[in-house]
Amino acid sequence: MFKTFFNFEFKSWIKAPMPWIFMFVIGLLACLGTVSNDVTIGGSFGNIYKNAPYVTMTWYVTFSLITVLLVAAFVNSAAIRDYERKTSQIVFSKPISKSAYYFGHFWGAILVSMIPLFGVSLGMWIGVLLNGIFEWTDPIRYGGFELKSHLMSWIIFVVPNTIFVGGILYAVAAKTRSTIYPFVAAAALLVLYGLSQSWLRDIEYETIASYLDPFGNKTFSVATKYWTVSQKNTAVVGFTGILFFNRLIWVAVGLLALFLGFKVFSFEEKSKKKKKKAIAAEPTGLAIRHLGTLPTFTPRKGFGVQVAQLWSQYKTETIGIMKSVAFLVIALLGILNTAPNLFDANDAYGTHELPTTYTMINVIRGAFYLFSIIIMVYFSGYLVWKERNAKMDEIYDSMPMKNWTIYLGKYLAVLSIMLLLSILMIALALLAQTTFGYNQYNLPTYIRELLIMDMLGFAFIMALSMLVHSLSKNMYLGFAIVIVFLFAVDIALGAMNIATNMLDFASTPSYTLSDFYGYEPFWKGLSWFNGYWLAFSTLLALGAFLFWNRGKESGFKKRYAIAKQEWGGYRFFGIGAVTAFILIAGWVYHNTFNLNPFNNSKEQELLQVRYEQDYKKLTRTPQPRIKSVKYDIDLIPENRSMVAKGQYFMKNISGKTVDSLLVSVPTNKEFELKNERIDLLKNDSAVNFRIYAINPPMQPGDSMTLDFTSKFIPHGFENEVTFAKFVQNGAFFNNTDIAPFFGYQRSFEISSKQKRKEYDLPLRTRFPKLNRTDTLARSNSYLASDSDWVMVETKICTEPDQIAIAPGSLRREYEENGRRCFDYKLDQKAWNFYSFMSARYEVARKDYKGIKLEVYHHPTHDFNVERMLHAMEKSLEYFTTNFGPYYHKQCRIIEFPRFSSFAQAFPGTMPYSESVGFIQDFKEEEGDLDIMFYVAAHEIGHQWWAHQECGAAMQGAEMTTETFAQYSAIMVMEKEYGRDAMRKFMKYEMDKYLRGRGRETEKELPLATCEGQGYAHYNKGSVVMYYLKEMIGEDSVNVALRRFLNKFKYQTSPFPVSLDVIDEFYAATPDSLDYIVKDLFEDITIFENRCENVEVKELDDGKYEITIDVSSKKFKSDGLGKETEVPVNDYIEIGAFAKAEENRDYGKTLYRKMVKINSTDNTFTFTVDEKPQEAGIDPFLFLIDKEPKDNLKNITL
Amino acid sequence: MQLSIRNLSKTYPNGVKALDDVSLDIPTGMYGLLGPNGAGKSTLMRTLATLQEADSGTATLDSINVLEQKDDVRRLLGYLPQEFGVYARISALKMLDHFAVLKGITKGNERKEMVNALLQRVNLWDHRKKAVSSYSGGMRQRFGIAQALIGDPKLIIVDEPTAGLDPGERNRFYNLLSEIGENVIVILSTHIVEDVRELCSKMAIIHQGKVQYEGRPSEAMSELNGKVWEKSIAKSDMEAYHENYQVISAKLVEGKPIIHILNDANPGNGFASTSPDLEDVFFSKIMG
Repeated sequence: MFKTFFNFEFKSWIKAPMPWIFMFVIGLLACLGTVSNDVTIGGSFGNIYKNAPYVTMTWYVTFSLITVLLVAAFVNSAAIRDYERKTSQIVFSKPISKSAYYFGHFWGAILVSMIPLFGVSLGMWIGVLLNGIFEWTDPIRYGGFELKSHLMSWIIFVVPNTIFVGGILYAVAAKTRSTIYPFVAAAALLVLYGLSQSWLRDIEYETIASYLDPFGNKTFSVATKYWTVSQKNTAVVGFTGILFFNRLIWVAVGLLALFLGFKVFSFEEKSKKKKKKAIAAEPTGLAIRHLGTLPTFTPRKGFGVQVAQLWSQYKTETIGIMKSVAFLVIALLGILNTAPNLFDANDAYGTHELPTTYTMINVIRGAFYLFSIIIMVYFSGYLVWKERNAKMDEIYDSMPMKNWTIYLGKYLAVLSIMLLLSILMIALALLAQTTFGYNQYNLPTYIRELLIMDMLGFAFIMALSMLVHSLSKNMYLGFAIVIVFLFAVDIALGAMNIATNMLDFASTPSYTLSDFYGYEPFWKGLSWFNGYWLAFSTLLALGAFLFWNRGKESGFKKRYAIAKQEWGGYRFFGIGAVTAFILIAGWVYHNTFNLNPFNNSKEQELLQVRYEQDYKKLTRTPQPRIKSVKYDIDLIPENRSMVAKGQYFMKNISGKTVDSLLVSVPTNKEFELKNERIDLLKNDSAVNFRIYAINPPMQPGDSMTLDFTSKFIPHGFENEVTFAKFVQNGAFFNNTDIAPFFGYQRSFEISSKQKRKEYDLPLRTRFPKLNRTDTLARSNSYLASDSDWVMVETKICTEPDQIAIAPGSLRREYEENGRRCFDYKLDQKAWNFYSFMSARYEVARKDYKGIKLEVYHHPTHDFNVERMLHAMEKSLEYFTTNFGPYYHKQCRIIEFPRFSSFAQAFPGTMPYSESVGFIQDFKEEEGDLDIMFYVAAHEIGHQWWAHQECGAAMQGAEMTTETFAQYSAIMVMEKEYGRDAMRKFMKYEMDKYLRGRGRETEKELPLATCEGQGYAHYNKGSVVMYYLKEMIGEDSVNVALRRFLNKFKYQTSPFPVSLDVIDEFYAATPDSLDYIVKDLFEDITIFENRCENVEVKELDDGKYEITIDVSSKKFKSDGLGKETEVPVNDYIEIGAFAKAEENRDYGKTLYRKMVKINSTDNTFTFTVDEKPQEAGIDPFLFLIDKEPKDNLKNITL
Repeated sequence: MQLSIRNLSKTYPNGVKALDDVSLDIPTGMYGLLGPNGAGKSTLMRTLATLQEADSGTATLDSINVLEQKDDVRRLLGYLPQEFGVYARISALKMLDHFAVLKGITKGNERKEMVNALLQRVNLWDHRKKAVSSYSGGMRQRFGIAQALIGDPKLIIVDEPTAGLDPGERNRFYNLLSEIGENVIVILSTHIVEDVRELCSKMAIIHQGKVQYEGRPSEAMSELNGKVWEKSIAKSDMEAYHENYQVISAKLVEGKPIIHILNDANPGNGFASTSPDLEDVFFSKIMG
């Protein structure tokens, strides 16, 4: 008997789409998380495999939580199906046992509820397989398939959680016999869970929280808290201890609820009521009454009637969707997935991001769209089949309405649901912004982005989906075709190297909004491409009108005949739609192929290959050196145009005769080069490379001038907007965008190892080897090969209401021909590497000891301007005191639009992206360091490290610039916030370094020989320099740096190498500590410090005695991460901390002391004055640590 | 008003010949379409209801070409299919209202009056706010009738409408139909002979896609006058009788089989003459 009900429940679901759809969705998420390098859900970072057992278990914990609502749907339907379908009387009148009925359905539904979670294993497995083929992510990020972790996840999480949730919800459903209450109960469970976890978040309640978490999430994270990377990669959490008891408790709770539900469940009570109702439904009198003649209203026809029919159709469908369980569940899941992200946006360094509209829109797209797209794909198909699925099609199809009204009613219903969901998201986002006290509400942007641009994309996909379903013979086949099509188009076009948006369904040029220019540079292309797809979608709709599945014919011939009959009604519309499509397509083609031809990535690569093959031999051809530059730039921002005239003054310092000029000209622009001595020998315009003969040749020491003209005038619109640098407001371009440069450019070569192999190119080193005596390599800094320090003079004109900026001091501002013009000139020679900008700026100014501090910003972006000026002042103060003078008369931070997201240092000028520091960040948390301050200090640091000296173009170059800029920033921050506040910064630097080395594609190198590896020269650089400073003292480090700087300041060949500064470090370090310099700069040294145990005794005098057991291991690593243990004999810090105050990440430092450690296991005892919260070893992360999180241990008193 | 069907043929892709050169003239009034299951009745009705295409032949309703002017037909049509379902979670009132709009009754007050009248007529008024999906079989059938009567249809097609109705309900349903059928064409398809005899002034018998008989039921019966003989026999003899006589029907009366045979003259052997009923006509036609 039990088996009958169990089988019935199980089998009826197995045939239904719901479990499989949800399995697909979960599988898709797991698969994306597994293949994508950017998705770090599941706790995979650094060296932890993306499919590590730990990651698997984290996925399962997370999903068995999210799927509570799914369980609700399944058990709910199991409990009340017989009432809903009115089969209860039949079923209950049979001699069945109550318990078999109750429990049979329950266990059947429980089994089904777990089906979707198979998606986790399946998705991860497929992800690993796919990545094996496509290598989106480095294969070393994957380990083997660990079956045990999957099995244990089921035993520990999936099964107990499903029983717990299912038991409670089934009892609720059986008792209430309502569709709504179980969902309310499910939501309540989730809300209660969230609240209890946030109340018990405090570390003091860790153990209680471990028991109380009904889903075992907290329990799992506590149990695995101190796991090392290798444990995470190999071990499976043990089903013992708190985890075991937790599971036992909550399964018992679920079963108890189930049993209580059984006690109050009864066939009788409700079925009696039902019988009464049923009797009432069959009156004893006449079932069909004669009540005189029926009113005779004749059906109308005409367009008005069709509109009314459309409206009625639309209303019915919209309400139908909103009442459907699938919609409610998916939408709720989407909201649950999105809301926390909207209300808690953290950035890379743990500071709060400003909840700007852009941020909110990104969160909505990232967290919610998957769900709304599922809703769209599902309902746009389901509605096409709705009548047939309900067996209502015969009645329906014989009604005198037109196909287009049915189609459009359904189409608009789904579109409205999508709109509704997006509007809901906007409301949530506005609420989140209000909660943060952010009041720059930008409703127009929300509307344009989410309700217009995105909605258009959805509208196109829906048109496709509904046509496919109209033609398909089966609903599931229809879904499969739509989904496969959407994925396949991209893959197929990619494989064929077709880059035009005209063939990639629903795709339009990508764009980045900015407060500076709104949509302006993109508007034209976006409008035409959207128009193009709208016209195409209209054709799809026309197809659906003609082939709408109406009636009982399924053969193609008959349906074609019907379509031909239908055509009569759509003749004019159809001809119009086809004509419109052809005209628009022609216009788009003309613009994107004739006016603005473009290369696809394959063509681009082939050009790179050819460039290398044809011209690499010219690498050592002597070239003149640029000595000074003059510009006359005419910007016409209104139509994104620019005409730049320039003049180089060049000198032959090569010591050889220069008889040819190898010119790389700015890409995609009209360009002219003029001098009487040069003749064009070759113009290879495909790779923007020209060769001129110099006649008579330049003798050593000879000089000449060279005039050039560079024009950028856009025509029509492009497939993808190139040169977004020239915009209506906020133009931002470099000298390399307008001026030529000389010699063979190594940077144009293909750098990817894999691609080079593909094209049979020789192996390529990233940088020449570090070698002091390589004078050829030392003759160029890594910034330029055709110039050293140059003087720059600029005249730049722009729109009257914009301010244009060029390098150097402003000499004159004036009006010329109705344009606003500015003359700038450098006060100090600098690298031939700088930017020009023009925008409607507001300027904040301050004076610091004769240096003009200026912040140019968008009028509404003034949140952080004061802090920027403050950071500039503090930085200049520290750097001039410790490193030497500042050679420019101004120090500018200039905001540029968010099409790129970086900050950069040019001589005296630092462009900052709108998204870095201007619309980001900084709820001011007193005493807490912020990323804005750090970025400003780092960029100003470059005014010394890069702009006064710069490493030669060989290994270790960035150590002389980026690493010291990091050190400079750290010192300014330490002065501002205090030594104890550096914990947070170091934690993030350590994390970034560890992640970075885990993603290294070739091999990691010691800092002294780093090759453009950001994780090394920035993040490891910070950690290493900070430890050096702690060990030999700030003054000694600064002395060493100053000596290095003075030796190379504004010098030309030979440029410095990392060894030059390492020499200075050795010189400043006592011999006994020389090993440190080697460890830090010449080796890859890694520690494994860990706090094993902490004991605390409260002393009679109110103080606390802390005893810590710590372990320390030291390793040397090779470039591929293979480690060799070496004896530890190092100075390592120990410390203890108080509990963090509200809104603080870290508590007060109670104790910190550097101790010499020369064995693995050590015990230390010390006394602190206040109640400690955590204690351990190397709390400030001075030393590179494999697992920094286990350095401190929480204290439970 | 007259529906003329000429040489209508239809073969399904699986080779089944559902309609084979069917020609019928259907005047106003109740018209019975009698045939065993699978005779092609439903195919014919669906074709008339614009849901299927014929391979060849024509059907005209006065001046309307039924096979091509689908829209015009649909506006005159009331169709109750043999089997139908409904959406979940929508009340009878809302569903009927939606149907009325689709039918072309777009004026709000007219529609309200019509929907209310129909709901009362089929006695669903008290349950109008309940979901149709929760209705019992009889209630659901009545809902089906209500929707077929929306918009004063001139051509009503009802396919096996009495399946699932109890005898009382069946009678009331037929009363309603015959009332309406005075001025419009009502085509009633059924395999129950009784229904046709009670209701229809004209009828056709269809078997294996072919029209076996077209005419008045009474004429059909009088054709058989004096040709139908009956006898009560033993069960065990059944086979022998089937071999020796043209047995057209056999039914049990008080547990004993009574057979009807067709014979121009008195066959003797204990057979007694009986007045032919429509059932005899039906069986004689489809066995011929």
